[in-house]
Amino acid sequence: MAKNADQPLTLTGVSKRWPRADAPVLDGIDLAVAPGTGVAIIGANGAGKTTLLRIAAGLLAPERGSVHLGDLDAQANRTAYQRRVGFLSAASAGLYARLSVRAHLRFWSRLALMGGSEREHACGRVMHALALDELADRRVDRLSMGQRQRVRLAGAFVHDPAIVLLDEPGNSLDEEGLDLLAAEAGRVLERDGAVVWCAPSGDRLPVQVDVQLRLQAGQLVAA
Amino acid sequence: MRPALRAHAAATLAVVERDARLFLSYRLRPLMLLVGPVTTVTLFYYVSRLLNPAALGSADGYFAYVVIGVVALGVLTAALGTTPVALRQELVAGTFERLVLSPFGAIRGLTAMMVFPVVQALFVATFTVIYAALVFGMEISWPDALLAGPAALLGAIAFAPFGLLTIAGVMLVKQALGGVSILLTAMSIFAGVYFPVALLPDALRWVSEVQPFTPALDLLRGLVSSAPTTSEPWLDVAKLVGFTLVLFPLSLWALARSLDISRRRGTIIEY
Repeated sequence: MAKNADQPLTLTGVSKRWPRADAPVLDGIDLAVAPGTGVAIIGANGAGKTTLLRIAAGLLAPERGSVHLGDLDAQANRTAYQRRVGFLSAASAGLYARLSVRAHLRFWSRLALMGGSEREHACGRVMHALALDELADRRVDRLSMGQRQRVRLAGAFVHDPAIVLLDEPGNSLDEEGLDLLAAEAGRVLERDGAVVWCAPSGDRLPVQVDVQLRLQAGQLVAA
Repeated sequence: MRPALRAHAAATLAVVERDARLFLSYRLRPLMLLVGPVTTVTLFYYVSRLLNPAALGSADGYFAYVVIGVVALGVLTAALGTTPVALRQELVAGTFERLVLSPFGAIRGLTAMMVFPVVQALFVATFTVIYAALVFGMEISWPDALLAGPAALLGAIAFAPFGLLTIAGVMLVKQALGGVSILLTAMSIFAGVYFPVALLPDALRWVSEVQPFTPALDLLRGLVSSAPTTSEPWLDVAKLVGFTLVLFPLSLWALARSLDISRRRGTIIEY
């Protein structure tokens, strides 16, 4: 069951400026993601989508503004916040080449502070959901890029988060992979969780999208 | 055990298990791990045959002195230098992000990353002493030597704050590893790895008193061999505990600050 899935993700007045940049990449962003909502954020390369998602995940701290999930502050209540958030970064990094798929998921589920029996169940469930069962004991450097992306996605979903933040999750996925991702995101939404999906364009979003926003010039506007 | 504590213990073990799996995934690595100590001990045995140092009694006394120095330096290197290097690799591979974004967290994760290298170093230390005893007849003081394991572990814990400070340095400037080599070399000189600190000029002797490597070496030498020591074992233990109590909270605070600064700067996963 997704944890505290009935709490909204709220970004209030979030600003971020990179050193020596003329303008802030994010300029007073306000965003509220209600439970059960799928949000797509689109924008050109360099618009700040990844920065926004990293701040929402608690990976980066904003210069101004705050990020909350319910009453949990992303920076001040880090342990509780991270239990409820799943995050997939863009690109294809973040895997240990010489570890198997199963070893990755066991590792991540233990970092998520899940209980013993809960861990085994969660790892089995997410491997099955993303069609990784047959690859479970294979080293990830012997997987295709699409298969590796499914392993990375499994890491974002394994601890059954209330909100999932996905940065260009469709990278390298074939049609079957996209369907599996959509089903897994749909499962979060069904449980009154939320999904935020970033992509350069909104042409090909296989997941349920209730709100589509565009990030441009540091501001979020309706797409 | 409370569930939260059990979950944290499981996460710590997960980091150790990951490091062990990655280490053992290269089949020759365990063997290569032992080549260095065997070479060093063999080299110093024959060097010791050329010497008759008054400060250490005999050639055998010098050999025992330097063997304990070398194994302790191995533990120090593991506690101080291995995890910062591993952190650099994690940053390059993009795997550090998952640790930062886990409920277990970056501070606990990085601290847990120090466990496997230290355990490995303690294993190598044990092997090295046994090798020196069996092959070159190094005299071992039984049964006191049995306390060397806990003593080395205490030493490793006392060294750990320096490792945490180095990790904090890597977080901030991404290139603190050159400093590790300098620090290890300085420690080996001022703590007496290869020669007694009594031989140092008076103006430099104070350096040997303000870091935990000197009492750790002294304690190990007193327990394992008949090499002369400079203070009582209880005093060495007290110094190590004192260094740990003072430096550990300080280094954890520094690491937390470095992570906060990196989050604000946006450089936490940069390399």
